[in-house]
Amino acid sequence: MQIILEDLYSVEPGLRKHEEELKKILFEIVQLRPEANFDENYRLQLRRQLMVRVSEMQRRRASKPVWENIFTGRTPWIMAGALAAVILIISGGFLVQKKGLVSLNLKQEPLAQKFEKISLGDNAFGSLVVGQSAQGTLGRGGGGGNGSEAYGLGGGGSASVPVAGDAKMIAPFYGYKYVYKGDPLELKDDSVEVLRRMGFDVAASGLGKLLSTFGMGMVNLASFGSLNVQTINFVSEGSFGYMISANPQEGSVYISQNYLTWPQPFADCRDSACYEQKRLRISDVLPDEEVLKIADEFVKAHGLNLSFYGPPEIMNEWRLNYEKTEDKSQFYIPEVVTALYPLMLNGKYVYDEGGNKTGMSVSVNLREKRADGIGNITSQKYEASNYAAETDVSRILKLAEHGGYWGLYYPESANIMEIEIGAPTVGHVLMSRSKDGKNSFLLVPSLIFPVIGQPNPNYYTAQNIVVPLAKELIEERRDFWIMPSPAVDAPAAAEGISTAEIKN
Amino acid sequence: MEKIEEKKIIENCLAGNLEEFGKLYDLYAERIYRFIYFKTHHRETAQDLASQTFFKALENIRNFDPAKGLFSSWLYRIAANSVIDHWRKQKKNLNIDDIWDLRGKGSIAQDAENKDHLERVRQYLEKFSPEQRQVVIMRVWDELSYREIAEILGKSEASCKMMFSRALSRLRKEEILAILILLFSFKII
Repeated sequence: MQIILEDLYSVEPGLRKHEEELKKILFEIVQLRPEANFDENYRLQLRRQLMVRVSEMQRRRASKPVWENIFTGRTPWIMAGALAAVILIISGGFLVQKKGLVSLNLKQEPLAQKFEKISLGDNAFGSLVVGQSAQGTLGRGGGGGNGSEAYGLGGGGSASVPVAGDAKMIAPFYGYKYVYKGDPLELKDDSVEVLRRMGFDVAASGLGKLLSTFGMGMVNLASFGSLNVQTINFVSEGSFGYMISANPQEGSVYISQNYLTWPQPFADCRDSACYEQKRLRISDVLPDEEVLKIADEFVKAHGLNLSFYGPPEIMNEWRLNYEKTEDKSQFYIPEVVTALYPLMLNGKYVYDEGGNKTGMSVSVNLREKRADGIGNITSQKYEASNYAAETDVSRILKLAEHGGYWGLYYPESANIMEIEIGAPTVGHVLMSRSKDGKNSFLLVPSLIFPVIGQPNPNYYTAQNIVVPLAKELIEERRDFWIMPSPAVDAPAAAEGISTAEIKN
Repeated sequence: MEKIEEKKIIENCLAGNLEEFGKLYDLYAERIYRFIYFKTHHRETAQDLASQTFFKALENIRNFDPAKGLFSSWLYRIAANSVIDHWRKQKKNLNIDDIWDLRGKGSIAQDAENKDHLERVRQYLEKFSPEQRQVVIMRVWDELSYREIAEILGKSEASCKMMFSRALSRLRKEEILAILILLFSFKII
């Protein structure tokens, strides 16, 4: 409070003689502040969603032009900073109390997960459209492999949301027009089967004695009635330990390094010279075969069922930018390389909204030559529901022309690149939805148009354009097809004009 | 967190180490949530808008230029814009930037437990001009510096200090203190 007052006196010195009154006023203003209780579960859940999004963005870096991505970031590594309903220490031994913590001997059992589908009635998931909740949430990022927001899809000039006066110039800026070069399309089905990933209900009572011990005399969990486990974290100690984060409700598991037990090479750095001296060089990068070997061994050692996934692929987009960089000595070599095990359904790959294969990703730490995490280990149990399908081919092609579901088209732009797309295949696209604080993950039948003619591989490297076949989703994007060129500086925002107005 | 450490984290993000964004989130999550809550008074809305803020910040982190201003101001600006967009969607025909503009202009979702309290607060804050109100709330409730307030509102520091000074001077002169004490007494009953 005294700081606030001193600031006041610097503007109006005469107020100093009224200090006691001003203190009372300030005290009362503070007292009138509304209670804004910040929910810890929400905080952790959002953090986890953001980190999944980070992983996705790292993977898509290659679709940005080289001038925007001179220091291409690390290839994805998974960081599960998830919620902690219970924290257990896994060690050998029996269920004991030790220093107030619980040790758990988990019996190794063969993993029996298999693909399951439960059919529900039509439109059982409600609206498929994003932002259908009252507050219009985003909530993407959970479940991994989700398409990017409508910024810069198709490469070139990311359409960043202008923010105050800090938006930098983004140049050169291109609009992309996708030209279909395949055979005439025919859409016969009037409905499509949308899948929604199921989680697992884990009643807290199932954890029985463990939870009663968890209370440690401080709280009687049974007094809360029926409880379900929302998320659970496990931490392994010892060098190169891991954190395993499970969300039974979403049906997902993430494994990441327990960073306290891994060497942190930059922890002691206090200046850029230190970072420069310690960062990896191109000679430190392992060959792809070795990365795959490390990833495979890690996956098998931890009993993951690979029958849902296709052969692993190394995410090497960063190498494209490395090759394009003139002064390679300045190029930031990633600490981690990712092996993607692409998810498959009915013998076909599953894609994200950006047209990239999606699935389970194993990150391999190049410095330590070890796997340091796995992302997007997901349940393969789904609910199925039929939704009305788009049957108007012209609408499908129109959306494809604009870059697909999350594409943008700038008719006002002076720089329009035409990109050819070929005959589509039918596959599934993973879409995440968030409503009322809960995330759901849909597999939506879609047309996957391959990009067949890239005008300049230096600026554009997206592989596919995806157009969902669910009619409701086609309808949703109609309002977004024609967008004004985004502001590269945003004085309007600084003057209190909202981004919605700028976009509109 | 020391400022120099935050600066390093931001530099790392700008260099492409986006996983460092998690540390920025840890630093600002609660503050941004509270900032938005003070403008919406509805927990779920504040959570949704806070989510939007951080996703937008993450998507656009590479557009942030440290030479042009503070990261905190940039982030708060995104949050403020999200709130404005929210209210423009909710009340298309009304010029509303935050909930304090809403008096008598239609019903909105509010957290029930805070409703009476917020009504008393609204009566008090009505004494300020919208600009003064923003500065007072950001300085006293959000505990933002004048530099941050200035960058968020697009004004000078001196201007923000003057607005705050005039707001408090006005209160003192109009002897609102008696009313505040009365309000406070009601609150504690």
